[in-house]
Amino acid sequence: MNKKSLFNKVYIKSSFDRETSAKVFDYYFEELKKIVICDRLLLMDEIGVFEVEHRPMTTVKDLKKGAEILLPPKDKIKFRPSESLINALKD
Amino acid sequence: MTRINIIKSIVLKFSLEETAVENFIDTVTGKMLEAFRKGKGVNIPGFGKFFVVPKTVSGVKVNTVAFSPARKFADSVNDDFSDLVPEIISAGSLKVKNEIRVAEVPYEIEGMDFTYFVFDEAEIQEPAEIQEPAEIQKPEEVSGQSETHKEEETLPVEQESFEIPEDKLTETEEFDLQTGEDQVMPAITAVAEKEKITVIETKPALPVKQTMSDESGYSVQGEVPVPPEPGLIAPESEQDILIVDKVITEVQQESPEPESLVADEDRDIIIPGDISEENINKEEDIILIDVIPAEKAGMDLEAVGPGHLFPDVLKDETTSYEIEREILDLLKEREDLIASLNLFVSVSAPEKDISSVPGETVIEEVIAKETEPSEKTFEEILPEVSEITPAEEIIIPPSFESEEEIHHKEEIRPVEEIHPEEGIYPEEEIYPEEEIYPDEEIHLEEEIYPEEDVLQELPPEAGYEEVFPVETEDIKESIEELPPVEETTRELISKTELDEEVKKRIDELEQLARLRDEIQKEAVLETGNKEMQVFEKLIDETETETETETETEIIEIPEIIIREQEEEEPASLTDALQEIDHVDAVRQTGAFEDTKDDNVKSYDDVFDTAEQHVVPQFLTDEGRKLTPQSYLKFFLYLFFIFLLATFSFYMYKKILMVPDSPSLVDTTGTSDHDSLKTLITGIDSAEMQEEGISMLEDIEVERDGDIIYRKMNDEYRIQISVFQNLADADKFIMNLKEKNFEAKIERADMPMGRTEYRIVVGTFTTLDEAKSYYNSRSMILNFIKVLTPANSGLYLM
Repeated sequence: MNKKSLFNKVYIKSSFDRETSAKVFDYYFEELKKIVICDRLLLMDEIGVFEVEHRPMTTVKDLKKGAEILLPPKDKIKFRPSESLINALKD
Repeated sequence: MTRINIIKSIVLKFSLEETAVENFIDTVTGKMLEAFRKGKGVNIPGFGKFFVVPKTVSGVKVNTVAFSPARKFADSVNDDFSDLVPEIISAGSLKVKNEIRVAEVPYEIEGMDFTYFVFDEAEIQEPAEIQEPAEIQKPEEVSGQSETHKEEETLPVEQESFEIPEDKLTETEEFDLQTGEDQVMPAITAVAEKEKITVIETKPALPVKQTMSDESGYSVQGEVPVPPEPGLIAPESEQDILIVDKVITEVQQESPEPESLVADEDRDIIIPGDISEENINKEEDIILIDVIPAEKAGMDLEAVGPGHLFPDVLKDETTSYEIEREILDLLKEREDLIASLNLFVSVSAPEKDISSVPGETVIEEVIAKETEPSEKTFEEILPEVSEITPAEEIIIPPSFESEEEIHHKEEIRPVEEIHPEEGIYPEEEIYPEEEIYPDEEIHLEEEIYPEEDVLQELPPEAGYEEVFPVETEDIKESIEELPPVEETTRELISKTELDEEVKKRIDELEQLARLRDEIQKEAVLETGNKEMQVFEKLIDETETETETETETEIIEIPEIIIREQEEEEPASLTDALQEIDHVDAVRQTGAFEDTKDDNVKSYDDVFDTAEQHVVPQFLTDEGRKLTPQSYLKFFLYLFFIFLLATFSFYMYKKILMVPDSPSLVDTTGTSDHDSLKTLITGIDSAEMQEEGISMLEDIEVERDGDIIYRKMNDEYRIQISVFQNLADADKFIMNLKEKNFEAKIERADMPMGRTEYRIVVGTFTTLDEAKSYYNSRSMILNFIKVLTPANSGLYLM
C-alpha cells in the first residue's frame, strides 16, 4: 500500500475536506519524524515503538576473506512492533 | 502521551475539532493495521516503509512488522556521524586496491554529495619513483668520469636534491679539459674524431680534484684518491702533446701505407737467390713473402732456365712459336691494362695518370740501374741484365703497338741491321738493348753468347756461369767499348715519345669504342621489326597517324578499318529495313567489291600473317541482323510454345486428373437433385463429421458479391468464402473460431471432379437476420478473409 491509497481510504472516512485531510495526513507523519529525531523515542499504541539506537565504533571481520573493517559509530532507528500488532497478525 | 500531543498540535495548527482529528488519526492507524493483517506493507515516502516479515519464534512461524526508515530520515537521525566512512584495517585475502579518496567539495558544505577521485596504488607510487635523485647522475654519464660520481655520493643531502642546469654541465666539462691544458684541447678532439682510444688514454691524467674544488657551488668534502694508472704521465700540457703525438704515430704505423709497398716493389726485381743476408731484415722477409708476384717471377725464371733468359740461344721453331704466343698474351694483358687506364684517364687528368703507368716506372728503374757506373764487372752487371731480359717486365714500347705494327716494323727494318739469326728470335724486337746498341756492338755482344751446339750439350737447367765458363776477359773489353747507357736510352725512350704513343693508343681505343657503339646501334636498328618499318610507311601514306606506333597499337588497327565500314544508325525501322535490303542487293550483285577503293590499304593487305585469318572474325555478322523473317520466326516460336502449353494443360485436366467420386451434387441446388440429399447424408462419413465438415447440400437464396446466403431445412447460413484446398479452409475456420464465430466447413462435389470447401457461418431463422448479422460483422469477416487468402489453383481458369 502506498501513501495515496492509504490517504484515499482515510479521506473516505474522515469528515474533513480533501485538502485539509491531506495536510493533516502529511503533518501527522512530519510530527512523528520530529519526535523521533528530538526525543529519540516514539510510542504508537497499536503499532509499536520507534527508538534511536547508538552503535559504537566496531570492527567487523569478513569471515570469508578475512578482512577487518572498522565501522564508525552510528545512530540508527529501530522499530519494535507492539504485542497487539503481533497478535493481530497471528489471526 | 505522544498521541495526545500530536492531536493537540494538529488542532492548534489547522484549527480543527479535536474529535475529528482523533478519528482521522485512528483511521490512519486502523488502515495500516488492516494492511498489515492482509500481509501488505505500507510505504510512506519521507518517513519509511513497513514490511510484513515472517519470523520463526520457538519453532513457530510468526509474521512481524519491520520498518526501514527513509534515507533523509535516517541521515537526519545520524547527523552527528554522517561524515565517517568505514575503513579496511587488514585486507586479508581481499584484493582491495588502496584507494585515496579526495573530496572535490570541502566537508564544510552540508547536504552536498561529494565526488571522489579514486587513485590506484600503482598511480600513487609513480611520483615517488620520479622523486628519486636520478637527474644528478646525468653529468657523470656525460663526462664519463667515475671519480665525480664518487664525490657526489659524498655530498650532503641538501645538495643531492639540487639539479645542475645544462649550462653548468657544459661549463664543468670545459673546465675539466681546460684546466692546465687549454692547448691540448684541439689535439684531443682531433684525435678523438679518428680514434677514441687516444681520448681514453689522456683522460685519466686530467686533474679531477682541482676542477671540482674550484667550481663554485660544489664543495668537495674530502679528497677522493685517484688511482694512478701505469704508463701515464702527470697532466702537464707539453707532455700530453707528446703523448698525443705518440699515439698518432702509433696509429699511423698500425695501418700500412703505400710507401712501404713502394719499397716492396723495389724488391720485386731482386731474385731470391741473390738476396744477401745484409739486405734481409725481418720486415723485408715478411714483405717478400707477401709479395707473391716477385717470387713467382723468380721461380719462373729458374724453372725456364737460362734459355728463357737468353732467347737468342733457342733456335727451335716450336719453342719460338710458344714464346711468340706468350708474348702476344702478355701484350693483350698490357692492352687491357691500358684500356682500364684510359678509363681512368678519361676521368682525371691524362698526363699525370700516364706517368703512373707501372711499366714506365719499371723502365725508369731499369734506366737508373743502367746509368750506374759501367765500370762494374760483367758478373755484377749480369744479374741486372737477367732482370731486364724477361720480356714480361721490360717490353713497354712494343706493348703499345699491335701485332701488325710489330710485323710492319720487321718489314721496314733494313736487312743489314738485322742479325742473320734474328728472324728466329722474335724477342729481339722487344729488347731495348738491341736498339740501344749499334749494330757492331750488338754483334760483339752476340758473339759473347755461346753457340747452338754448346747449348745443346749443356743441361737445360745449367746456370749462367756454366754456360759462359770462359771469355770473361773478352766480355770485359767489350763492355768497356760500349757507349754510355744513359745517352742511348734517353735518346730512344723519352717521356715525350711514351706520352705521344700513349695518347695515340688512347685515341685509337676511343675511336674503337665509338665505332663499337655505332655498330651496336646499327645492329639494333637492323634487327628491328620490319613490320614496324612497313607500317610506318603505311601510316605516312594514309596520313592516319603521324607518330610511330608500338606493337600494342598495331592490334588496334582492325578497329579503325571497322569504323570505315560502320554506317549511321537509321532513324526508323523502315529506313533500317530499306538499308538492309540495299546492302543485301549490293552484296548479291557484287557491286560492293567494285566500289572498294584500291588506294586504301588495310592491315590484311599489307601483312600476310596469322592475324590476318583472325581479323575477319571481328567483322559484323550478317546473320545477327534483325530481318522480317527473323521476326516471323520469333512469333512462330512463341505461338508454338503457347499451343504446346495449352495442349499439355488440357491433357492434364482430361487424362491425369481423375475424379475420386462421381459428381453427385449440383451447386445450384435445384429441385431435380433433391432426391440426392439422402445420398449425401449417407456419403457423409464419420471421418468428415469428426473433422467438422458437413456434406449437406443447401439452396442458394441470395448472392451479394462473394457472400452467398444459403437455406437448408428452414435455416439460413452465410457462405463467406470457398476453398479448393482443405488446409486453407481449416485455417480460415480457426481464425473465425478465434473471433467467436459459429462457422463450419461444408464440402461440395462439383462437376469436372473438383470439390469445394465452403465456409459457412451460423444458422439464422430469417434472411433479414442473416443479413443484419453479416452487415454488423462484415469488417471483421473481410479482415479475416484477407489474412487467410486461398491458394490460387488451376481451377480458377
